[in-house]
Amino acid sequence: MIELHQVSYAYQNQSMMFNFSVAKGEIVTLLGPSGAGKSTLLNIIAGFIAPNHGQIILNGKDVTTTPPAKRPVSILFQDNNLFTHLTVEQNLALGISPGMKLTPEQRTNLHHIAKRIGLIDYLDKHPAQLSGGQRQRVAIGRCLLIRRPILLLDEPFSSLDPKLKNEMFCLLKEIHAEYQLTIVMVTHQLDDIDISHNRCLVLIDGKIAYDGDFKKIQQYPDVALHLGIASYKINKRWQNNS
Amino acid sequence: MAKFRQSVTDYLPGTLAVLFVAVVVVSALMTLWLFAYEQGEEGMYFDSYLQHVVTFTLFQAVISTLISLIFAMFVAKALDIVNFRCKSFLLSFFSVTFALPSLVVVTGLLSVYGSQGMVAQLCRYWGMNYSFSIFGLNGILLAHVFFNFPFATKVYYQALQLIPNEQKKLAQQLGFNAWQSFKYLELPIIAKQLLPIGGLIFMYCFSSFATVLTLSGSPKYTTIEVAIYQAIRDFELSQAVVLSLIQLLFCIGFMIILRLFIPRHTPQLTFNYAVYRPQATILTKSLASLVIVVSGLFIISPLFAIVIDTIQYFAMSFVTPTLIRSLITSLSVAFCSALLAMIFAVSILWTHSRLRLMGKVIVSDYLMFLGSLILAIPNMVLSVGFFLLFFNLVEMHGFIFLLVVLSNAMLALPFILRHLATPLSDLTKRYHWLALSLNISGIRYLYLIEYKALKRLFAYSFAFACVMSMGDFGIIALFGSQDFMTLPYYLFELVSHYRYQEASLSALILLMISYLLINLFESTHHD
Repeated sequence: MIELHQVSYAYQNQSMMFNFSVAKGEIVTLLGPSGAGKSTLLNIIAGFIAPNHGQIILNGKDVTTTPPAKRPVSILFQDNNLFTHLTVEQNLALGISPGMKLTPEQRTNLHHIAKRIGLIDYLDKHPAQLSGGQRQRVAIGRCLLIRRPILLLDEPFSSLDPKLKNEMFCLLKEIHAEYQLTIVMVTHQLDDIDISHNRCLVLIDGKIAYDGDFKKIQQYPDVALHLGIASYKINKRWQNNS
Repeated sequence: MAKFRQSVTDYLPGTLAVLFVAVVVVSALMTLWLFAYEQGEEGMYFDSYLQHVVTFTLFQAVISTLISLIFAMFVAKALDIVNFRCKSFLLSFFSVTFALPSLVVVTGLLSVYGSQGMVAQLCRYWGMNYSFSIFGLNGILLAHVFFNFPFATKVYYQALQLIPNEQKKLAQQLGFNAWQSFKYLELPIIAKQLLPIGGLIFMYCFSSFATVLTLSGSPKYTTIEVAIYQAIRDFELSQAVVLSLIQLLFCIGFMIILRLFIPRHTPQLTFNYAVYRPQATILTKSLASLVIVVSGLFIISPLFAIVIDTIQYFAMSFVTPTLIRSLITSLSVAFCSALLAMIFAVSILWTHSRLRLMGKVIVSDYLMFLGSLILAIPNMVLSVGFFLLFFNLVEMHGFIFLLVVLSNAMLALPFILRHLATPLSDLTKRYHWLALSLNISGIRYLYLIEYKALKRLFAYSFAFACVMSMGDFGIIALFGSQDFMTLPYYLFELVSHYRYQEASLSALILLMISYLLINLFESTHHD
């Protein structure tokens, strides 16, 4: 569960204000033009950026001043999720213990997850030897090993080709159900997910301009225009109405 | 492999340049070998003095390198933690010391730490006893650290800026402690960037000449390079040859060892649009600030002292005709050497990038290796080779000028090659086929594509070569005379006659020219 109460943040003549909540187990898609503050919002929730004002509550606890490691949050970036000089196994182990010293039990668990993400045969490989999709799967695996109930995704699959992207979304959906994760995902590409089934938040200029079903965005021409999805049809209907 | 269209103009420039370099280097070395052979076994002895010289050379180089690297790690980290307004101004001094003429640095250090220096005066003012002597091991280490630690700091600091923001955030989220952050984020960078720099610093200190010559104070503290110089001055040529060979063997040995240390899996470095800095505690920030202030003082005070001394003691009588003459000589030497070095570098890289484009990586690597061959050959060895080769022509004015220009150009060549290699080969990869289809070739290609695209980098490399050549006090120490003097040579004369006040003016001139040249053209893009 994520709750942001009047959280404000100002950076280089842009002020942002967030006030919303996400229920446990919900998947929310964060949309908006570049520079609207989508990544900033994720950084605030994860604790990399301290807000100027407001309160952040995660899973019922006020974490406004809690350091990132103590928050029930893990995050997946578009790239650089792995340490390239470490092997796949070491990268996964970091999710369990930063010292990489694992008990036999933990090691079994690691192998279980490695199987789950389909990379059990790649444990001694280095990230440079993997494909882009495999790298992101390692990162997802590590998020699962950290065992934190909230997963933040910052354009995680934008650099993958459509087929891989689909596979990743299937994996994501499965683990979402399996681990009952609360997921917030930033994306640029509207075909990224079957967005239509999700709740969408649209950020414009640091404010939440729309909160609701993706399908209904088209009823708000201002928002739709910002997202570049104001279709010909809508425009026409709009013209007819006016 | 696909068969690409190739032409002789792709290969000719690089081959010619490399051949020229190789011929010059080999002929200088051969002269040495032949000379040693002719001398017979008489000259070949490895007495206790020689042993002492070799041990001391190694010892001071190891200590200087270690201190420089350890300081660099702390200061770079401190700079990474704290952001302040004059940071880039401070860093502009960090990039200058490495290229600074050694005699300028020695003059500056003398005015700060010498028996009449600023620190001594402060101590006297407070009634304290100042017993630190800058001559001997202290001074040599001090000077070597001064040259190298800022350079290492800057390289390491810039590498720290290239750690992907995402990884710093992950480190926080995964709960890394200070040691783990260091181990996973920074240690790989140290292995990749700082170790090669360490090798470079080691070679620099191992081959250090002017610094040791001026600061040694007694024959106890002598490096091989200085011993070679002294042997030549005393006309013990066979001794010089033995020493040169020892120096050469060591340097080649180091180059081979260094190649073994290249790590296989390197960390990912990216250009971050805005560098992410995790929140630091007040204690960390204050410690970091303290480190920055102390290191800043250490670097800036000798340079500042030169300025103060010059202003304080300035007299018109210091501006002698000799000073002006040597300044003009220095500037012309610098300009000609830099130009020659640029021509060599661009020719070699022209062929190098085209070879890489055709997939002939091994051949292109050999080309670069031959171009950088001079790195393995100590300055003094080359000079001795030239000295013996052209012993009879030493009296000729114009010839010495040519020789100095040539050897300085050769010494600057490896550095320019390193600056330009990657950008030029990227450029070729991007535009070679396009240029062929538009029929842009030869000089027109050089001007329209290489020069236009990399103007700043070309200018910086040229300036860097100028500074290196202008400050060099290797070959000129052998060939220089009252008739043919560069500014460093003149400075050396003044310092060795204890005319420090007069020396500071020459030092200031060299310092200002070096600082301006380096920082005017320093490009924002680093490899």
